[in-house]
Amino acid sequence: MGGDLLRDDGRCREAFRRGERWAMEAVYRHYVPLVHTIVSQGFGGFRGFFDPTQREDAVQAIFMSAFDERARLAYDGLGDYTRYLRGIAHNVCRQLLDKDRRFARTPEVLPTEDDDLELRLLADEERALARQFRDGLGEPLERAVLDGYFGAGESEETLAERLGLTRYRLRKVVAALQKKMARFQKEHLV
Amino acid sequence: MSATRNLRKVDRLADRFLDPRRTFGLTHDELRRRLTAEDPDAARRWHRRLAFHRALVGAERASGLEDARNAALLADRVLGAARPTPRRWWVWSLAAVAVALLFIALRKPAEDPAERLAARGQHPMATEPVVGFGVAGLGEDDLEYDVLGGALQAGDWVRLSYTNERADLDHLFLVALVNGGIVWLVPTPEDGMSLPIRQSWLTNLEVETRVADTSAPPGEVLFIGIFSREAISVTAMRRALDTLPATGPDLDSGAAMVENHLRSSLALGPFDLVQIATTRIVAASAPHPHPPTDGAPTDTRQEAP
Repeated sequence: MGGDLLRDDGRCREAFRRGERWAMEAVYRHYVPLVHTIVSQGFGGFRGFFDPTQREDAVQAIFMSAFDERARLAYDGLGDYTRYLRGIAHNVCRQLLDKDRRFARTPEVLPTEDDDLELRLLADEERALARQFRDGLGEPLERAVLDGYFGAGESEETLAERLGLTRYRLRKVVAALQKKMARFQKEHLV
Repeated sequence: MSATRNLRKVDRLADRFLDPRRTFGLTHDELRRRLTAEDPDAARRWHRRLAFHRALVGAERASGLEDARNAALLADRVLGAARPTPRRWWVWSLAAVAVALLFIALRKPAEDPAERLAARGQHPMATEPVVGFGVAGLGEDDLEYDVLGGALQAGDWVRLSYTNERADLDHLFLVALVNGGIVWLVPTPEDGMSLPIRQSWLTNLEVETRVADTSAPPGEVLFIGIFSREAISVTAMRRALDTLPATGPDLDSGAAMVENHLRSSLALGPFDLVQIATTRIVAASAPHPHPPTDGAPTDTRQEAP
């Protein structure tokens, strides 16, 4: 993540404070790696959420809290937003953990070695399949679109310009790739 | 609900989530959350689909596509709380289910005590079957957008879908009213009778149609969906719509009036569902010929009369 979007970009900050959709989406995309790191790796004595559903719920809950009107207006733009967001994230994680402690009477089930092994094998298998898929792509253009559009989330406009394509042509490549991926997933995921 | 069915549902949601040309709104997200919360296998399946997608596109964490989806969903959720809720098909569906539940409660006061005990503690809506239709507009290059929650651009094609979790409803009739005219969606006058449907989930109808051509003035469009036990003929529906009294400016009471009129004119049963959704037609910003799509059923497209 480069820079601190809300601290450095006044236009985005003002739009975010007003609750404009484009600014919220930009803020989410800019800061989600940070929030993901917090919920996966934890802080203090908390080692992070192991379960992917819990992780995902925590990310959403943190952003919901950060996008609340009072929280948006409370950020003055002088300090780092990353610090501000980290504070919100810690509070939300603590609330989630307290809630879990209140309702979960049984001890947390930690993954066993067998589970770990199964997950590792699945991940290895998926990586091998992914290599097979990527090697099977016909032209370098497809791989560039796969990485740029699907992987990095570059906008159509930026990617089309970078690759020297019209947006119409880019959409055709995106559609073709989408079909290939869907077919490949169907063939290989049991 | 069987585990296999849940996996199929999750797969279809994952297909939709990972296809940038299709919409994935709060309704889809709520269904996905419900499924993955209730069924650990469905949750595993969902995460496995995402993990495989990440491996294919070479993303370490979430892919750019996932981030874009989640950012849009989050904005929908935050902004939705501050804006009037758009009229969506599932609102009508839930309202209809609530009416049906009330009807059942009034008609069936006593049951086997064992059944009452088994039902205790369950959330009443958690297991209610979902029934409803969806309308997606197709902009340039076949990018879908939500028509019922937003607006329809004049001249755009629409794609129709339905969900029917009730085993007793096996016919569907979909029609639109635009500027006082009828646009037959499913069935067409040539088909003659309601489309037979089965219990299924997010099923796309093999038809694309134009509800308003590019010259249509801005205005309102009323989508009417009837999920019924008996088939309804186009003739009966035409007669019912021809005798429809003019609706007032209040859309909610107008929709209720349309539903009452259709129920009595078509002699619908108490468990048949009538769903009415209104949306706006906005002028085409620039008329564009719709390009043929790869694999789309272009041969079944029908122009509005």
